[in-house]
Amino acid sequence: MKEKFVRLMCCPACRGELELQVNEKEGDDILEGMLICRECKAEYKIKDGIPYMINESGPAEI
Amino acid sequence: MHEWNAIAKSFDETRKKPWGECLSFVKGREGRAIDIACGNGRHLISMGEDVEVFGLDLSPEMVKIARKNAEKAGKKVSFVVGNASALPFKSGVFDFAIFIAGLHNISGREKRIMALKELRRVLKEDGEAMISVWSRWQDRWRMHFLKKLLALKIKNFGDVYVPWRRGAEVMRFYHLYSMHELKEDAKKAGLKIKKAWSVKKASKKHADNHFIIVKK
Repeated sequence: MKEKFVRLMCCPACRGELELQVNEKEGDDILEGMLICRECKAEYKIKDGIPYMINESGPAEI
Repeated sequence: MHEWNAIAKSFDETRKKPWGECLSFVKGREGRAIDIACGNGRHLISMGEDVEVFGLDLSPEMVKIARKNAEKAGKKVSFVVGNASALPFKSGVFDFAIFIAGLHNISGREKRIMALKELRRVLKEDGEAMISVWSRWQDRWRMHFLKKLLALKIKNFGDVYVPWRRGAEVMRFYHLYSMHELKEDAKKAGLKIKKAWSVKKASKKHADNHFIIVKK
């Protein structure tokens, strides 16, 4: 995922702002890392360039 | 959700081209767009060159396949694994959206309306979206629902499990919509209905898909 897209995204559980933690990147492409909600502290993994925005315990799960 | 991961590969093999309805809707549209429940990505590849496209699906396997298909088509798309009823996007960021054959896979009316509310939330002011669902009274299910209706089995009316028989047999949840209910749910979510119509894709007598174009 592109680094600049973080500003468009929010926490699916509480709509809080997300903080990006980068473990591996290629240019402005984040390959591995984490998006962490500043409000509810939920953590969402970025694996192989794809953010997994599913909240395992929160209201987001179908 | 695991059922969609299990069938992702064979699902992809049977769904290659975007629907004509989608091509007409996206034609000439610019800005930023999202394909909610993008599946294998066959519809998002129809977006214009200058559109900044996002694809979201609950199934990681579908998202991986969609990414490959977008690459093959030479499209730059950003993919997200996420839930239509709790979108991981800020409010008012998309110029338009498509939500094709996804709403009917959400179990429970409240959650379906929630997904429509979420769709509305992420659209910009005056943003538009096209939504499609399977219809209840199509040939294949008509007798099933008539029998249920006559037996007064109307709890969660419209809910069915549809088998996928290529490779492993997998049962998928569907809520088959009447056009009336689709419009009602969209209105409950605060969406304005601009256009509504039904088509026959595989059905011979009765329409098997409903479409609506909605505005925030």
